Amino acid sequence: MAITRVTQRMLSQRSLSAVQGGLNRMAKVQEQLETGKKLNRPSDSPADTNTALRVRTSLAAQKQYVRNAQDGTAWLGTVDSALSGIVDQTTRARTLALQGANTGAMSQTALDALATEVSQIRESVLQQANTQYLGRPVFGGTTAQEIAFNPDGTYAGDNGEVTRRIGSDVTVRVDADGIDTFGPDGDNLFSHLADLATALHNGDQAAISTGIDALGGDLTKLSAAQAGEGASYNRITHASDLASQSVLQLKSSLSDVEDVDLAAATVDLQTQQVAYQAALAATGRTVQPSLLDFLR
Amino acid sequence: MTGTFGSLNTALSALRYQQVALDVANNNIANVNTAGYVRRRAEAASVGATGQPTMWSQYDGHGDGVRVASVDRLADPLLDARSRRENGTLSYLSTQQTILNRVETSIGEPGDNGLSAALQELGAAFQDLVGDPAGAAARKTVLAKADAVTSAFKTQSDSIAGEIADQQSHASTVVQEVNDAATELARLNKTIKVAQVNNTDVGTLSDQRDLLALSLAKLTGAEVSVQPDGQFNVAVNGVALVTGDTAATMTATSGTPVALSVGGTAVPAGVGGELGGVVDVLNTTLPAYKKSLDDIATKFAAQMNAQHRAGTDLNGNPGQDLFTIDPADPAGSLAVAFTNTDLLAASAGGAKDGGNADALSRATTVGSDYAALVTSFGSAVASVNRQTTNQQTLTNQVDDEREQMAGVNLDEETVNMVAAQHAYEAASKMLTVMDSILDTLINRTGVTH
Repeated sequence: MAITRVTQRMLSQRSLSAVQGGLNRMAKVQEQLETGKKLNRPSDSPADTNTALRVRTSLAAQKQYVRNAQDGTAWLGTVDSALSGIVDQTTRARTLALQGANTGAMSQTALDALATEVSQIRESVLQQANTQYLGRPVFGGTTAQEIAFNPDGTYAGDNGEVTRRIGSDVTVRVDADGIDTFGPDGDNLFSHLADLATALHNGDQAAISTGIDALGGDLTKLSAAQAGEGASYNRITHASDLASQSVLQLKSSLSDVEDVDLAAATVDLQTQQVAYQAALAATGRTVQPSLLDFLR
Repeated sequence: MTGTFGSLNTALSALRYQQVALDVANNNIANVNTAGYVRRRAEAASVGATGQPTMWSQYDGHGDGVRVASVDRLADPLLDARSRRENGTLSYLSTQQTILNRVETSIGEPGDNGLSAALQELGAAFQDLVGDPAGAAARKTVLAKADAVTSAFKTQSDSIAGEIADQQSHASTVVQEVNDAATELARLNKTIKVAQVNNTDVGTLSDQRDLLALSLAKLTGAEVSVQPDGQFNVAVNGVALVTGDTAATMTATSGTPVALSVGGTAVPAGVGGELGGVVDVLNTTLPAYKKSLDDIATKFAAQMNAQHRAGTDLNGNPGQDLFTIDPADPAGSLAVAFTNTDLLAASAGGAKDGGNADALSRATTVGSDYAALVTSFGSAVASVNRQTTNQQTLTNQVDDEREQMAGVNLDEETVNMVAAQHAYEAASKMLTVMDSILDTLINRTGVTH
């Protein structure tokens, strides 16, 4: 711009707007330093705002997946320990049955004792099959009942599944299906144990032998259920680790987008301060003198 | 030379002219900081031969002194017009900037307290409900978070409604100012015409009229057309506001959209200045944002309600609507439909199933719609900010150019003052010399002792 004629008002207005501009820039840096954020409103950087909103959404989701995974792990742990107990007890019952099948060596009194122990094992297994986590039977599906199996060994739960979401499209089943694990009503572990106890009482070798086979089948089912739980447990732990890592990464990218670079902002503030002081000094020097200072 | 006494007149004319020059310098210095003051300059013209010499009327002098040809007002109509135009645009942009920045702050994004955060927290509450579908605490939390979402919608909706109400009263205030300025300008048009006929100095009146024209341009982006007789005619976006000494009255309809009319003629859209900024925000920007927010609220309610209906509540009944919404004001009226936590349809099957709660936590897709809305609004604000900064620079430059022409430079006036002072002293000296010559001629010539 070619300036042909400069007036005092022009000088003072320019100084004023220069000083104002300096103050404005300083206020901007100061806001960043005070809030610790460089993204204080969407217009500061619309693109970063979009990123920040998306990252915040993902972050909330991943945090939730971690929580869900923790809850799921507790469910699976409960199921696992119940299953281990049941497997031990069932193995013991099968051993007792094998003893009972040893014809000739056992008196009826001994068989009766075996039958009593098998009955007790049935009670104990039933109790463990009704194991609860936070008031809910872990083999009972989504039932509102407090138990998964009635005292007579019939299934009291429903066929619902308890699942936990551990990824945006990944859910894991954290309970165990009562029917799949123990067998259908009338042909399940509890009826097999009851039948076995009766057979031992009666000294019915054929029935004892059937019972031994049935318990063998039950043990296979239980092991399969245990293996399934183990696989779920691994999946959930893995997913939880992944989600925890994601949380860290997302936090760091959110910080990249939203948070101020302290060192840069401090240097920037220093620069703006110098510029502001320069503007002030220039104002002080240009506004002051006039021709009148030099006349007479 | 028309005689010895004539020389006295020449000196007298010099004294008179230098007096005027001093007055003008004095007045310029006095008004150095007066808004709208345009510097004056006393133009001198030498007095000499008559304009039309004839055979029998010869002029045998060598100049008869000086007269004030005119006191010029150093205004440039072209620069004035540019200044009005750029100031009008600046005022349009900075008005929008102020309003939009305020709205943007009230959105509160990105942050921990905005709508986006509330939506995420609701999703998390639903996921927690999956973990404990029948738990009273989890159910209460879901309802509380759902409530938080509705209040986040309502806060934004309210703040936009409040801004609309504020800007409506702002618009009517500006219209009032426009009418006052237009009336005053028409009055000045008349006064200046009369003063010109009377041959009175109209400089001060012109200063005032220029100021009013500038303020009308800032208020409405009005265009001034200078008539051949010097009158200012003012039109707002093509509709005449001031014609000579008559001013039409501008009116604005209350309510949205705001329609402007001058003297009964509707003003087409695209008004500039502060009023244009307010009207555009009122008619376009804010309703568009409100509409998007309403759409998001409607979609949110529809998606959540559909999913909630798919589930079963704690009593085994099918889910009802989770949110109520009034189509007349979706974002402002969105509310949680019930307070009884048993009615939350978390189950998709068994009594303690959380399948529907899981589905509900993922039912709504408005998060990305809302992010898009916030981002586009942020872009719009950033764009207005940028434009305002550029326009500020341009306007400063134009104002500087105008100031170069019309502003008072104290050094220059001091020089003028000193020059006039010396000229005055010289003319006085001339009078003394003349006096001495006449003294010699009258009192001493031919006197013998």
